[in-house]
Amino acid sequence: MIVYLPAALFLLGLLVAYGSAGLRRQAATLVMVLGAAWALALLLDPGAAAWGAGVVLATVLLPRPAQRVPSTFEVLSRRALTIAGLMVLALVVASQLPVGENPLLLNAVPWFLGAAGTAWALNPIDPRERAQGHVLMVGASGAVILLAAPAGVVTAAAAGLLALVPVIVARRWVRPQWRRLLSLLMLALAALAAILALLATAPALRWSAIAALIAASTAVERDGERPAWMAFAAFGAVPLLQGLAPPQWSSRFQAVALGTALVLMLYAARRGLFRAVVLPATGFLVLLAVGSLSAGNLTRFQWIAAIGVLVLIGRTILLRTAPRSPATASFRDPLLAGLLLLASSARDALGLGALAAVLLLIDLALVRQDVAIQAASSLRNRLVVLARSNWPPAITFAGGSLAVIAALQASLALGLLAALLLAALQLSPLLDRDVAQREVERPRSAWHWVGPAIAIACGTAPAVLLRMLRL
Amino acid sequence: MPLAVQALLPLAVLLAAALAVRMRPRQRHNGWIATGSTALAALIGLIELVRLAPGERVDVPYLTTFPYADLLIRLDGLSLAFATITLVTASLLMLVRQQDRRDRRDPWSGWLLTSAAVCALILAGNLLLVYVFLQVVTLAWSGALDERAPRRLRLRLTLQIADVGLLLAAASAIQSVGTSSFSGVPSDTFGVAAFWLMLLPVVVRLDALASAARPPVAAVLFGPAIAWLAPAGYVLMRLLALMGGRLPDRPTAVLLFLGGALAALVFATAALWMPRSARQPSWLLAAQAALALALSSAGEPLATVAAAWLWLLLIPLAGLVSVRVEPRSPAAALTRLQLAMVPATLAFTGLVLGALTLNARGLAVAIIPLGLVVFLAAMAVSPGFKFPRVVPRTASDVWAAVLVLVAAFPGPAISVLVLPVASTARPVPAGTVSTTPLGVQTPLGPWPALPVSVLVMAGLIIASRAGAAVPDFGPLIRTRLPRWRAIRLPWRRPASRRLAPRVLASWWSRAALWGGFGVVLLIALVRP
Repeated sequence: MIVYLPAALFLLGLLVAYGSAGLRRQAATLVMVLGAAWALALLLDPGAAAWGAGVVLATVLLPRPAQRVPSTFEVLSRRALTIAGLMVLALVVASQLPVGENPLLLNAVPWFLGAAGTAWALNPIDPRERAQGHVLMVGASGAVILLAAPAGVVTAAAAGLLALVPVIVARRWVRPQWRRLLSLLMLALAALAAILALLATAPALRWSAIAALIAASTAVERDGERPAWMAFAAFGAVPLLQGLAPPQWSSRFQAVALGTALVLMLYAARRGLFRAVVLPATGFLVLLAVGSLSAGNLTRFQWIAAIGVLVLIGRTILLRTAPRSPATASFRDPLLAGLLLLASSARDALGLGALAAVLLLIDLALVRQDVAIQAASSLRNRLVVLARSNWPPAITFAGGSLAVIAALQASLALGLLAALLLAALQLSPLLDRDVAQREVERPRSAWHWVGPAIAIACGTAPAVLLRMLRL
Repeated sequence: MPLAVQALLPLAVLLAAALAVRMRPRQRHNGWIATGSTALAALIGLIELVRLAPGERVDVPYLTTFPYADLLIRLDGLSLAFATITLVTASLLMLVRQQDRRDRRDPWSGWLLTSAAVCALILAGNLLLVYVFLQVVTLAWSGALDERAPRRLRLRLTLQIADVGLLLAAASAIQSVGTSSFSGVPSDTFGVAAFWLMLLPVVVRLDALASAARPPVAAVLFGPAIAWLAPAGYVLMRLLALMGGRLPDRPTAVLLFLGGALAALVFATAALWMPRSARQPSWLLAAQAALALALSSAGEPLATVAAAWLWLLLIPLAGLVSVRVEPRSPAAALTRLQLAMVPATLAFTGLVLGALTLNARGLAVAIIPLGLVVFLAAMAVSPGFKFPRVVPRTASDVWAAVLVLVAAFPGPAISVLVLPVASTARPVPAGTVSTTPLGVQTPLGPWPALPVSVLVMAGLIIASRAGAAVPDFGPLIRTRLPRWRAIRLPWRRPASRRLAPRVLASWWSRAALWGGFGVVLLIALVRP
């Protein structure tokens, strides 16, 4: 009977949270988290409950307003339908990916936590609820991955602590004069999370770090938030399937999930922190994972990459042909993303595909950010213009050319598709002539030339990068 | 001096001069520095060419990057001859520009960098490097660091896109034999598709040559000869060399010949059709290049010699055409003579060698389009043609006179430049072409270049002194053809959004896009 208590506690907390405000709602959210931590302790071992510490702390730091936010019937209906649908989905997923022979309701509690977080992030009643949703999503991602790949107390606690990242990003608990300091802290945290995502061996820590990164980046700019979380869901399916799915389906599902995740991630990576940090981190992880795919699954991945190219370009065409909308979607980004997809899917003996993918990732993340260049007069501006061009010393040229070579080694169709993309990339200055340039407000810094300088260095000597990749 | 240093010398000279010119802009002597250094680089190339043993090929590696794309220089007859003649032409263009005081722009740094890029392209030792340097050449001559710059935007983009064909061919070689290095690619590596892909950069550059018209302010155009024609000719001859001098199959050879001949006919007809157009010289030049392309398709040694002759000597001719000359000057008259392709011109020598080959192979009918092109070109140039009564005074006059002399005495050019190129492209047996004081001797027949040149020039001079001018026969043809220029196409492009079908803007299109993605995911999941 005790095994059902965490689920009951969670559901009680959820009901109270939806029906109250202020401290009572905060307490109800804490009860939900405690329910999830208790479920983890029962499903794995008592040490796993340490995961809950970080999530509890994050929830405590996100106070709720004392008054209920006025709402309409449509909003309430939408919220109710969203949470109901997501809870059912969580239940179905939990039933398909059981942990041992535990009862379904116990298995489902961490999934329920993720469903509640997703519902709050999808249809928030106010910005604080959205931040709370992000906290629960980051926390739930760690909890769910812990189910598939159990870890020690420290790892579980560290995975839970990453739920603090959305709170720090929200910055509502800090005095205004400290917020500038906090934004620096946020950048440092983002960098730390990216490093954790790449270097951590424990899956729970790695995926929590990626979730925290997504939460941090989409908190600032909401453009592409939903596909980003969908990509995370697909990406997170890989370790889950490894740990929990039946072996006959696991590998092919993993290949499809990997391909889908990369396509969605590229679809979501439009600008800002997401593109600068999350995209490279996940891109590298995909490259690592592609190396272990079998030949058949690699073909699946290549199929998805090819259709992903068409989707990315198709979306741009649709945006550009939409009536009464300013032309803001450039063709260059989806073409580069398409080349990146093809390069990632081209696994060759020399590692050219990986090299091309790394070059294009650097290009997308470091060079092609929306900082307007005034005129190509000064040496620095000329350097930036050159770094962003398709001319030989630029990283785009090296990455695109190597992607074509690598894709042709994978298959003729992929090679021709890559060549078409490269040709279209050369045309992009003509196609993007009427695209309105966005200027992102950024602090003036003498370090703007560092990215372009790195890009030109990588484009001039890609072989050095290849040597580093082989280490 | 170590070979690795020798091979880099022309490039080093050009780059050092570019740096020197860049550091002291708008100085009066910059032109002389550019001219002198380019001439010096050409001289170094010529010395290396002369020192090279017949058939010798040297690869000088500098940096091993990838197994298929080492940073290496290829020294052989083909590369050194093309480098020499291209740099000589570049030097002459700079000399002419230096003497022109009307144009106050300072082009030296850009021109030196373009020359260096073309030189690097010609000396590159693998296909991937050739692709990279083709792009560098486009960047150098256009100077458009910002790709959205309107200057020659469409031409730049077309060149960049066409060069992807060469990249694909390089990738196909890497896939087949694991390298794109010239020394590591067997002659049967490239199939029909790869051949046509590699031909794309050549064809596009020839088209650029046809569309080049000199703007009124420019005394000299550097692009047509140095940045378009020289790379096009070199890439084609290198392609032939990689394939052992033969095209992949007979239909490809026939198609290439027909395509080249047809293009030459079109260009010559256009030149005849619009005699006062500023593009007429460019069209006639492009017609000669198209004939060179057609003759490159024949797999006989003598035809390869003819193609090499045409490609090599078209470069200085293209340079001369790119120079602004006084209308009544010797340079103007001699340039028109060269473009007419009549006997006593450079092109005619190449055509005779090609025609001898075609005739010997029983393809006399293939000579008809060549003859027709010559006829049309002569008709296009003939109206009012007269020799001036002045002696050569300017650099361009001397340049034009030297080209006439080369046509009259083809021996030195054939021995020093053409034969090394042809024998790199394919084995040329001894005795295929031998030179005599009177002209050229081949097993298939002689070409008495000197007597023919003397006769033609004497006839033209006498006719000019007598006040005779060749009448304009063009109207006889022009009046019988429809006035296609009267057809006006709608130039104003409707806004793209109006062109877009309404379905694209609907919700269904997005659903279809993601639905298609979902279907492919499903197929990828369930396929065995």
